[in-house]
Amino acid sequence: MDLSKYAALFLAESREHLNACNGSLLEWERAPTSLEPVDRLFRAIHTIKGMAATMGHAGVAQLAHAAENLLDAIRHNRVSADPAIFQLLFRVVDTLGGAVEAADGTEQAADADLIAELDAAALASQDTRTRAEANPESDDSQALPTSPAIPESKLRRATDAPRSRPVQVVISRGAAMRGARAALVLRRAEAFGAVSGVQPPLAQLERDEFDGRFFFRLQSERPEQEIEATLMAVGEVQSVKFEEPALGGGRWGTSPPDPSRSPPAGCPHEAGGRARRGQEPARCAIGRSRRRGPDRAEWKDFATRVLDAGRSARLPDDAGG
Amino acid sequence: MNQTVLVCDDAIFMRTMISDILSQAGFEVVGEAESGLQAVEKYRSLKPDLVTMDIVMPDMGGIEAVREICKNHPEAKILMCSAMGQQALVVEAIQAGAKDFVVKPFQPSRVLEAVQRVLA
Repeated sequence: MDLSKYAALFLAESREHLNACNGSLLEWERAPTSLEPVDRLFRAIHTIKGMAATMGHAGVAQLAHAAENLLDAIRHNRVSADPAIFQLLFRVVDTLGGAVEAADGTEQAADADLIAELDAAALASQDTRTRAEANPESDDSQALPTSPAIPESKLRRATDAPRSRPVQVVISRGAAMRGARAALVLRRAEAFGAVSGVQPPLAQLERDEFDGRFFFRLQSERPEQEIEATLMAVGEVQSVKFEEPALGGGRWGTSPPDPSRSPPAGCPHEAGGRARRGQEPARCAIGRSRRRGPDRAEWKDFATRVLDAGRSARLPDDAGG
Repeated sequence: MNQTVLVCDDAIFMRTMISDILSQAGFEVVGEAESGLQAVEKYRSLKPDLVTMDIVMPDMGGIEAVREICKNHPEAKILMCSAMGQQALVVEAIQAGAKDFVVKPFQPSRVLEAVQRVLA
């Protein structure tokens, strides 16, 4: 796609947004607890990030992304930024200004030091959450709005429903936002009947903390081909199978250990055969994938996650796991 | 007759790009909105076949606009346009009624695939 025609627009809009950022920063500095200027700053930086990414100016996009994260952390925690953070953000706006002017289609490296400062500030500001106004919604350190894809009442009713079929879905490798893709699949499945027992739990899917595979139960009499075709049509879905998940080896939602990969350093199985002296051997996966069935700890972990999803009232048999 | 589109994004840059991608593929861009409020108003008056909706906008964000539009027009076909790193918001948009999503930076082919899915 020929992006050169957008270069002038990119420059003009970025300049406009960055000018506004300076104004917003000054306003915010005068009234550190006010939220309006923070929101304006966040939106401006967010827009610059999107435009820069589209134009292929990765350095600008990365810097904007780091600034956006800090602003988002401040926005949600309602913490008044301190003078150091204001100075940091003024520097960021200046640096972005220079980067935007210099962006000419050739790859510009991101300002790694400035990004590191922003990342550190974003983490530090979350620690001050306890001093901030209590926000009953956010007990999640990322403080992003989350809500269950399926209303809880539906989940509870489905628990007692007989004969809900197992559905295993794999989202395509390389799909953008696999968690959001999974949410689309679940929403489409809801049209067929009650959905329950989502694994990994919804919150994990929404944070993209899974390997693309997820599972749920669907209460529906519709033919499998129809359900499969509808869910595949969501897009970027690699496969839909009506099978129980296979337990064993690794945790659900993460890839099982691949014994063909080289073992971690210090592992007793690495070439040479011995852990390095004085070094604790790294957790080694070789041999684990051949075990049959989950161990006691894995059963407990799975049971906890199943309970978290609001499903079965009965724990799997704990004895001799 | 070409299918009609309402393009909603607070950046002229993004609206221009999306409009170009869609009109080159044979769609008719019948309106643009730069805020959630405008998006809701223009949907009501234009009743487009498709809406592309940015998530982050002033005066009512994209998610609330989706909610408002779907409340009054449950048949609305809305495609969310999101920057990277906003997955939780995309999920919220899906729960509010968006039919699909694309992530910036856009690849025209992916945008068109998503549009086809939404319109199917």
